[in-house]
Formats: sequence, structure tokens, C-alpha cells
Amino acid sequence: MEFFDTEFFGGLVQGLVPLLVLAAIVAAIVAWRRRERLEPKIEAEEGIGTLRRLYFYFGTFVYMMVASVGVVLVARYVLDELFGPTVLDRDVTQLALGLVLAVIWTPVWAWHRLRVLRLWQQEPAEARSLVRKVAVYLTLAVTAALVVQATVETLRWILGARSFGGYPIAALVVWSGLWLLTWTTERAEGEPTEDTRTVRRLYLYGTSTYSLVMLATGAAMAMYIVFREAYEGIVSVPVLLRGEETLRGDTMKAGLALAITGGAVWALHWLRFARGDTSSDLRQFYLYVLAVLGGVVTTLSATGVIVFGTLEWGIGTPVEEAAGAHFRFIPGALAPLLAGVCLWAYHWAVIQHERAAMGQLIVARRLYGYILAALGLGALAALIITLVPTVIAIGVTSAQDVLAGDDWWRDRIVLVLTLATVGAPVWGYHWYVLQRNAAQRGADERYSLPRRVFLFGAAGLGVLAFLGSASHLLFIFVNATLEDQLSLTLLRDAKWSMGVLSAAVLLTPYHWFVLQEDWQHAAPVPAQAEAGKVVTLLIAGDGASVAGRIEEALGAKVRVLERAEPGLKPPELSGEDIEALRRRIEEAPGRRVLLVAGERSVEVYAYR
Amino acid sequence: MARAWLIGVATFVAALVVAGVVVALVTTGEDLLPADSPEGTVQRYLIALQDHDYPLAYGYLSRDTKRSCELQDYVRFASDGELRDARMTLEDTQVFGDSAIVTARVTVFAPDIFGPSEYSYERTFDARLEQGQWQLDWPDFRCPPLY
Repeated sequence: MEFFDTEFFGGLVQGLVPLLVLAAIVAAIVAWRRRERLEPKIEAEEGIGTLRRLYFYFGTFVYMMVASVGVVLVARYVLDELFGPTVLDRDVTQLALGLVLAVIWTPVWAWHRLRVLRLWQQEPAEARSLVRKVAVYLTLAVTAALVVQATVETLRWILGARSFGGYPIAALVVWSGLWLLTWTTERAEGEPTEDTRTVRRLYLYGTSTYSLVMLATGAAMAMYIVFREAYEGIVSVPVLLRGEETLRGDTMKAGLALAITGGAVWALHWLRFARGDTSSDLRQFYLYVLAVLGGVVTTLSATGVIVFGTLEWGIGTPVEEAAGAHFRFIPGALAPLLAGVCLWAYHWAVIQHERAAMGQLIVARRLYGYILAALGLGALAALIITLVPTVIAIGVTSAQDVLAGDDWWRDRIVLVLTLATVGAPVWGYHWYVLQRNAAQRGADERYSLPRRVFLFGAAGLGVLAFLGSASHLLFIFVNATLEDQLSLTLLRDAKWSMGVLSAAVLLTPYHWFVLQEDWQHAAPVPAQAEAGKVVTLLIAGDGASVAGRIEEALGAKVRVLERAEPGLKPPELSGEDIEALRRRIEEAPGRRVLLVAGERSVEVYAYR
Repeated sequence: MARAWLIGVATFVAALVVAGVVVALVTTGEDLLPADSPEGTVQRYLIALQDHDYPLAYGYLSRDTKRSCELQDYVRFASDGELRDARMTLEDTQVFGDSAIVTARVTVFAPDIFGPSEYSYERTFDARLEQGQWQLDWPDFRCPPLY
């Protein structure tokens, strides 16, 4: 009992530490933003003050977590008693602990929660508080994760992969109830500032990311079982023991539980809650870096495994003698390949659709092309890094006595050919298209940010690789010379550095020449005047649409502040009004421009 | 200039692949070392293991090793592992009268999705001269350890 209490309270303290760290980070961010006047008067003069906020919001979160754990423990005990397997002596320790936590912490949480709710009702400015939003979405994120875990376990029980346990159902009911309560309240409050919208986006896209991973992983697990059963049937593999990896086995059920849960959570957050949020940077990060890039890497890796295995059978040194046994890896590679292709294709289609609607399809295709060209270039660099040491080793080995393994070089050549098969088409096709676009579109394409990042990145990494590998080679040579140990065996230590050096020497100058061609063919496009302006819009109520139209006209973000006068409406601006506003912003002296929106017009003020 | 460089790189890489394969096909192959040398015995033993000819491999063991490890036990242990994706080259041979130590370098190639991965280590074989023939000795093990 003592040990259990100590362990529990130790865990509670350990759990509080990261929350305190998080609270300190949020407080520091708020203080910094106040100092930079990015949140000029909202936090300081309105609302309840930062320290009180930190206590109420994060304290409420901690009280909620402890109280909910208590309720779950009690509910679990009751469910196990009612529906669980018969046991000789059920441990009542957790029931006692659950009762204590629930009885003591639930009223404390309830009081604080009501207080927090009342704060918002009394001080509507509280809805703009970053601390409040972080606490709300932290609550949503933690409860959502707990609900997801409980749902997977519940589904596993329903599908028959595990015996009945009270915990998953208790956890599912309690934490989904808390999630729903928090979400409903948050929908009523809304996110009136860009910062609070950012916090919401962090939650939405973070949850979408891990639920998408669950969906892809679960689907891949299920597909693997299906493909493997099919393969073993086609090839007539003599299976001695199937274990749990059959079509009705626990592995399949676990995969289905993971896929269903992940799919439902992903659909709710991505397809429903995040719908329409097409202009946010976080959404672009999710789409390009997490979804598309994740899908591409998964697809190319799985393709590489299949190509390697096939080439190994043809010209390498396969371990198995029978083709049926050797190609057993196919189901395990095919499943993630399909999952990766689906991830890639769907999210690329979403990007094209959204960007086309915003007239930015060229921008999307450009970024996509450079991402894939970079991946292909990486494969080609790996090809050279593998090939050079292999050829050196072939040469060195020919001068040595070989005791065993005379076909050692075959698998290395197979890896080289695999990297060439996967990397060359990806890099070749996309780089060809990008170069063609650069020739056709001129400066707009040649001086675009993705192209500059790609070319300077390739050249920069090449220079770093050259210097590093050259340093290592020189060190080996100097060290051996000083120790009077110069011999052919030095190549054994030096060959991988020689591979890196070769890749750097072969690839870096090419990208430098391309950069020079860009400079020769086109002058850089001068930056538009308004891109350097810092524009702030002071507008009433629901001015988000006006802000969006101004952002579109300027091609830059606009900071939005809400006017406090009650009953004030945002102005209705025509296309000509927006265009005239854009010109006035351009012509305003200095970098900082304040737009004050009345009910009929928008005034432009330059300030320092 | 960029295009010319690219063509040059592609040509060089292709030539390197062809040259490597040609040299490998022409030069690799286990030229047998003298049968009456310690390294020759080690080589023949490893080739027998590689070919799964376990009785032949067993024949290269010393009397003492065979006494503590019968053929059935040896075959049972030997069938659990094999020389896979590894090459062994002769590093050194030291002869001390009727015993010898043969040092070999084992290089294992294990590629993964991130690219090539290779590691190497040294392995020593003890040999003993019995009736004019070098035999492999494992005094510290009941049956010879595997790779």
C-alpha cells in the first residue's frame, strides 16, 4: 500500500513537472510578446492577469486529470465486478484510491472550472488570452489521446483480441465526456485572435498527424496479413505454425482496431474541424512535410526493398535456395508501399485542389517538385557513396588472400542498382520538369525560394561533405605516415570517406553551375514594396474576411486587432476599395502601417 | 556547362559500375591456399561450412575438439548459423612449432533503408599440427562457436 501510494504520488509529481515547465514557457512567451508590443494592451489591462491565469487554467487542468483518474478507477472496479471474469480476491486498493481522488478532487475541479467559465462570461477579453487557449487545447489534446488509447483497447475487446477489462470502457466514457465538455465550451468562445487560432491549429494538425499515422499503420498491418496469406497460398509455403498472424488472428484484429480508431479521429479533425483552414502555415507544414513527404519516403523505401530483393535473387547472393522462400518479403513490403502511395496521392490531390482554388497551383507544384528532386538526389548521393568503396574493396581484395565469401561484392552492386532504379527516375523526372519551368518562366522560377533552398542546400551540404571527408582522409594518411604504417590496408579505413568525397566532388559543382546559369539568364525579381510592410488592421467583430482579402491583395500576413466598441460592424469593401487600399498601403511612408476600419471605410496611418 | 557536367558524372558512375563488376568477376574467387599450411586448413574449413558440407568441415577439427564434440552435436550447432553476407580475408599467420594462430578479418555488409552499413572485426583460429596435418582446435568450447 505504502509503495503504491509513493509510486502514485511520485508519478503525480513527475507529471506536474512538465506542466510547470509548459506554464513557465507560456508565461515567458506572453511576457516577451508584451515587451515587443505584439499583444499591446489586451493581456495587461484586460482580463485577470497572467499569474492568476496560470493558476486557474493549469490548476484546473491538473485537478481535472486527478479527479478523472479517480472516477476511472472507480468505474473500472464496478465494471470488472459486474462483467469481468470471476476472481477469487479482487484487489480493492485501486477502488479505495479512486474513491479518495474522485471525492476530494472532483469538487475542487468543478469549482475551478465554474470559476474559469465565469471569468470568460465576466471578461470577454479572456477569450483572447493565449494562456487560456493553451490550457484549453492542452486539455483537449490529453483527453483525446486517452480516448484514442481506450477506443483501441475497447475495439480489440469487441473484435475478440483481448478479454473484457473495465478500464477501456471506463476511460472511454469519462475522457470522451471531458473532451466533449471542453470542446463545446471552446466552440462557444471561439478564437478571436491569430495567436489563439494558431493554438487551435496546433491541436488540430497534431491530432490529425498521429491519428493518420495510426490509420496508415493499422491498415498496413491488416494488408500485410492478407497479402501474406495470399502469398503463402499461391506459393504453397509449408506453414508449420500460424500462431496469431492469421486472417482472424489477434494481429489482424489489432491492426483493424488501430485503423478504425485512427481513421475516425483523423476524419473528425482533418475532414471536419480543419476544413476551410486553407491559408494557415501549419496546414501547409502538415500537408507537405508530414503527409506528402511521409508518404513519399514510405513509398520509396518500400519500393527499394522490393527492387533490392528482386535484384538480389537475380544477381546477388540470396540466402534461400527456393524462389518462394526468398520472395517471402514481398507481402511485408507491399503493405507499406500501398499505404504510402495512398497517403502521398490523397494529400497531393488536396494540395493541388486547395492551391488551384487560391490561384497558387504553380507554387504548390514547384515546392512538391523540389521536395521530390531532393529525395532523388539523396538516393543518387547514396549510390555514389556505396559504389566507390565497393570498387575500392574489389581492388584491394583482389590483392589479398580470401578465406571465404568470394561473392561478397554482388549484394553491394545490387544495392547500387537499387538506389539507381529508385533515385534516378525520381530525381531525373522532377529535375527535368523544374529545369524546363526555369527556362520557360525565367526569373520568377529561377529566383523562387524553393529553388534557392534546393540549390544552395545541395551546394552547401556538398561543401560540408567535401571538407569533412577530405579532413578524415588527410588524418588517416598523416597518422599512418607518422606511425610509418603506410600500406594498402589504409584503404579499408579510408574507403567510405573516399565515397563521400567522390559524391561531393561529382554533385556539388553541378549545382553550382546551375546557380551560375540562373544568375546569367535572369536578374532577380525586385521585392514588392508592400511585402516589407508590417500591416496591422484594427477592425470590429467578424473582420476576418476583410483581413483575408487585404492579405490576398498584399500577398503578406496582416495582424488583426479587434475593436472593443459594442455593436460596431466591419465595413463592406468592394474589389476596387481593396485595390485602392493596397495602393495607399504601398505609398504610406515607413514600414509600419495601421489600418483603422470603421463601418464604412478604412483609414491608413503610418507609424514608427 | 551544367548539362555537360551532368553527362560526365553519369558516364563516370556507369563506367565505375561496369569496371567494378568486370574486375570482381575476373579477380574474385577463392584461390586455394596450400593445403599443408594453417591458413589453408582454415580456408578449407570455412569453404566446407559455406557449402554446408558439415562432415567435411568436421574433418578439419583436432582430435581433442572431436573428442568433446561429436559429429551429431557439431552438425546440430553448425546448422544454426552460416557465413552470410560476410567475407573473410587473411590478415596474419603466426606459427609456434606445432601450433599456429591464423588471424582473419571478417567484413559484414548489412544494408538498410538508410543506405549501406558495413562493419568488420578480427577473428582468430587456433591450429595444431597432428600427424603432419594442421587441424583446427577449440580448447575453450565443447563445440566450435559459429559466426
